[in-house]
Amino acid sequence: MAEKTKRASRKWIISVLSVVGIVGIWFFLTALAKVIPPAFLPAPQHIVIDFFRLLRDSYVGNTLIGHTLVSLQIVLGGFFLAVIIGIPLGILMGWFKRIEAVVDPLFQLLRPIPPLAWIPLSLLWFGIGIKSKIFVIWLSAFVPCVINSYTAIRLTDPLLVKAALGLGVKKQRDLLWEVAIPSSLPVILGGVRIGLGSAWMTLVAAELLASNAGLGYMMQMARRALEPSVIILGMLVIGFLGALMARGLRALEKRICPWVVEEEH
Amino acid sequence: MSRFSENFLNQIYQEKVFLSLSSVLGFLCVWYLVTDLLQLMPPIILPSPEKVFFNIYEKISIPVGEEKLFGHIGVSLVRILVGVGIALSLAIPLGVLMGWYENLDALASPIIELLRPIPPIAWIPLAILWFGIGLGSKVFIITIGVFFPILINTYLGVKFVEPLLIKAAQTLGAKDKNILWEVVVPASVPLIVAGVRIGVGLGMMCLVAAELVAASSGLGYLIMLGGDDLKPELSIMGMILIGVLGLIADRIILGIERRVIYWKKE
Repeated sequence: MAEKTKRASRKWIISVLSVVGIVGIWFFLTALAKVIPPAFLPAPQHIVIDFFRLLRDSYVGNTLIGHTLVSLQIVLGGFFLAVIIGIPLGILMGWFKRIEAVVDPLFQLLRPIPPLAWIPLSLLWFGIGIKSKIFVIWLSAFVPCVINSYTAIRLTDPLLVKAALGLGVKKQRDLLWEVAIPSSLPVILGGVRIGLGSAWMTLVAAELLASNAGLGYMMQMARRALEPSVIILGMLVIGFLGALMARGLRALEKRICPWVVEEEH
Repeated sequence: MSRFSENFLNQIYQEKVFLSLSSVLGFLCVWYLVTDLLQLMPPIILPSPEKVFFNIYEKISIPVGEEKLFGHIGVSLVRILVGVGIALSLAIPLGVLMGWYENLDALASPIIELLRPIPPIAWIPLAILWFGIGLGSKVFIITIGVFFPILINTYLGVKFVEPLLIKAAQTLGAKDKNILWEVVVPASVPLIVAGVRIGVGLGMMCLVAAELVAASSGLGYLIMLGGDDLKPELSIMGMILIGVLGLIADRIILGIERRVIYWKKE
């Protein structure tokens, strides 16, 4: 036991040293030795300074919080639409063979196209405003929601179905609501999580391409103004929010299906 | 489903094929109807299916921008292959070493955990600033996209290899180095290949994104140009070709998977 805690604490020390070391090297190369010009990679403290500056002052139209809210609003809007439409559609496809036969081939045709590739068409169809972004983000989250719900329902453990039939469940509807859907929940929620990650990534692409607000727009403008510290700040905020949303969904998953054995390492 | 007789199942199967075929045909018919016949959609919003088809045929011989169609496909292929190649040669060795040596794991993990949540596409502005809009920035972004899934899967595969296998090898007198290369690495190949599959899928997305944002050739450039020049048939062509490319890549990896891990049954 003592051996184990000793190893754990040594691991912890190495990890802290590693992060400190990287930031130290970064600081040394940019601020002290000045080997790397600031237009290429700014010193780490500049990112902190810019963070506080953008909290107060607006940059290309919004403060950092303003840009973040614009991005979050679009991503959550498209994502919720995808969940609301995608999960029921997937469940219907998994349960009713006829719906599966009609919808699945269309789905297989569209699926290989990365959702990002829809951005130009979406701009053409819906203009540069919020609608085109919501459409693309909806699409990117919709596909994993449908696929996972569909697969989970279709692969419902036959043993569970037989057990339910044996225990006297008569109606198909009860079988769907009481057996198939609850047993599919973990996989369905997994699809929701993949969808959120995909939506977040697609949003960044859409905002880089055509936008007048949002984190991606802020980064694109900073690139034109040769301000890499604002770009890196944007990347950190995007990464942080993405990780935060993934955490939130995972917590929700544990709340909704507590019987799932934790498989994360 | 034993209550279904063979005959009944056969009937269901036939009905399914019929429904599937009519679904795809119906989709094409509706598309044709709203564009060509009823002209509900102007061609600068949605071109008719035959216009898309002839556009593909035409662009094989007529150049768009710098290249003809196969030139654009070739450019995209080179970018994705170089990116995947670099990512593979970095991620697999690093993943194996991190999974095997605890100190290296402790050293590299925190940095990777800091960088991993940043979507590869968010690197695009910085990549353009660092490498310009040429091959370098695209390869950089694709490499980042492909790198993390392979690294994570390799790491997990090595770290959580069945302990019984290691114990058996030790009992048989294998040295540490042999255990790593002859037991642990082969045992984690299935997970590594799965990581490659996820990574290449993500890499295709990164390719499209990078070519949409800043490029003068490649399939992503065609998709973007179609939107800018009000030629949606160009965009749809690019989207179809990217989809086909992605499917082919996926099939190739599946084929390799089957060959490499022949001992593992589905």
